[in-house]
Amino acid sequence: MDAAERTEWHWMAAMLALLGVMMTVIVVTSLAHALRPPSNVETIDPDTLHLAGEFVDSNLGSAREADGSVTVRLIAQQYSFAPDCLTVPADTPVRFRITSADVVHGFLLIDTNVNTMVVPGFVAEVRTRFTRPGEYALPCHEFCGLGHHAMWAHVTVIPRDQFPELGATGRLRCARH
Amino acid sequence: MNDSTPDVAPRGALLVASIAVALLLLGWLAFYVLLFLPRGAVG
Repeated sequence: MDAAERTEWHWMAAMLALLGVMMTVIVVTSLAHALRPPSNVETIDPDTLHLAGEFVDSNLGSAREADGSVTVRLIAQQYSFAPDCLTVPADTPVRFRITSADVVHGFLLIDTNVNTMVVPGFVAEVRTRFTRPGEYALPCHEFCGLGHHAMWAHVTVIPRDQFPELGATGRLRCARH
Repeated sequence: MNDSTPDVAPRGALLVASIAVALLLLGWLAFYVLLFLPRGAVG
């Protein structure tokens, strides 16, 4: 083996070690933080969203589950989110369930890793936990038509002890002042 | 064996390449640990 060939082998070994380090970091932190891409596959009829079922208007917003977690349901449509203002507690498991009434939209919470596409006919689901109270912008990040740039909503994260006790049918939406 | 192959590996080139790769790895780690992870877990 000549010098050049030996150098190539050494370099290849170094690159494999580099890939090994990166893969290890990704796998270990993903397992430790339960961090993974949202992959819910659940179908729904976009034509009847507003008429019956989970996404009727009275069921949208934040709902308290029996285990103390919070489920937020919303609809994306040209060119708004319904509701366009949401309130969730900090330091609590939060599950967003969102679907589209018309075309493909995007669901992104700025400064967080919450990010998914919203495809008509499917229910996207993202689970997270907010550690920092504050107001988070929620823009549509999938071009959906001429009004796309104005399609925004807001999520207000409030301290856990300030989140109201909602009954089984209670839904919370806006808490902006 | 090709006569044009150098007998000695070019150390300067190796050094430059190593520094470039080390900076790439450090940059990746910095984004991952300082930006991505603090943004919270999703699933």
